Amino acid sequence: MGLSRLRRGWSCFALLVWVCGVAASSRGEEFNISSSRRDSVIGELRYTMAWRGDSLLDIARAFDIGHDQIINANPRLNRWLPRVGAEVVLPSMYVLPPGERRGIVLNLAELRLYYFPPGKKTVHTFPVSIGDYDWRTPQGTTKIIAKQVDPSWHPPKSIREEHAEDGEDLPPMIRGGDPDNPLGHFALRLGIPGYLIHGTDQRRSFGIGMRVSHGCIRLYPEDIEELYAMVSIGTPVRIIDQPVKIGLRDEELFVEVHHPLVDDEEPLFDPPTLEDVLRELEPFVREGHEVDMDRVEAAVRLGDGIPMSVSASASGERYWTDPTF
Amino acid sequence: MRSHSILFPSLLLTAVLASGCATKSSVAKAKDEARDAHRIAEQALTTAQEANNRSIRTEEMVNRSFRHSMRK
Repeated sequence: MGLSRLRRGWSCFALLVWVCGVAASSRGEEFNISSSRRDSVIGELRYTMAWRGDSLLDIARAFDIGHDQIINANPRLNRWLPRVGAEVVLPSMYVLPPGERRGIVLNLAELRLYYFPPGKKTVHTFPVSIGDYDWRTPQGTTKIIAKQVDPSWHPPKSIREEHAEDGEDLPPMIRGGDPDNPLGHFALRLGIPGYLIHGTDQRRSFGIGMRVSHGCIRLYPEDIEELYAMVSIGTPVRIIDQPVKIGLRDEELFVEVHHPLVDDEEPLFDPPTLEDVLRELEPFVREGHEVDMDRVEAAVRLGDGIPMSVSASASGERYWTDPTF
Repeated sequence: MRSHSILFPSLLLTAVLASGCATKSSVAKAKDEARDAHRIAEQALTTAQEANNRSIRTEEMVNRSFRHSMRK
């Protein structure tokens, strides 16, 4: 009897968590930024429970997390059929990308976009899909030059030829608002010719957070709607590729390491090495921060994109995604 | 009375020998059964490993198909 009550209680709690998650799904995540310029770790790890019929992709969508991100954070769960009742890690904790906190910053290595609204101490962050091996999203600095609702899509010849090889006849134009238009309902045109930040159609809406586009930056439909409303023409856009990020929170040192997903047919980058991470840590060590090398090595080995405290004084436990820990 | 005293140890010896033979035969039988069980278990393990490999390959195929279908 006690057990059944416990189960009922846990079910109610899980349902509450789930409902909160779904309610939050209509918006990307917004975090306050500490007034201290040095603090650069936002968010927390969260957990939910797999419900009957949920795939990890359903859960990722509900909690505004990307495809590769949730799979890397839950390597022991089957992405299509996680065990009912299994604990699912929601890796909603991030080290802010290095450099100026202004406008849009897209970090290709982590498949995530950050938007710093002008005059506010907040940051909005969204998972994105980017170009794959053959269609890499370019790095560099640009800006938003146009905004468009219900953009039409004129696929270039190269994309039409690619579809033809798969036996698919792609029309020369897909009208704006068409449910099969892969640009979705909103597009932000970048100063780099031919590149957009856009939404997606329903069919591809579970593929956000992957390297699958032809170089454009693709968001969940609800996220692009939110970003579109906030961003104005002229907003600066900085596209970086930073698989290792180092951050501080209350003088505690965190390392965030991203590996490419193992099922990427042709990974875009090699997993960062210990030397790469130590190079990034060097300025902090010179400042006097003491580092726990076991934790640094673990962060490099896991490469799950979850910030790991590496301060020698770190006492908090972290969620180990590697079952050998 | 005298014949009884001889008969009893003889019977006892016969019983012990018979019982010993029966025990030996049971051990050999049990060993054979264990060998069979071991062989069947190994076959089952091989089949399970093949099924698991097939399942992994299927999942990888599904993952690749999904990735491909997400392309624009």
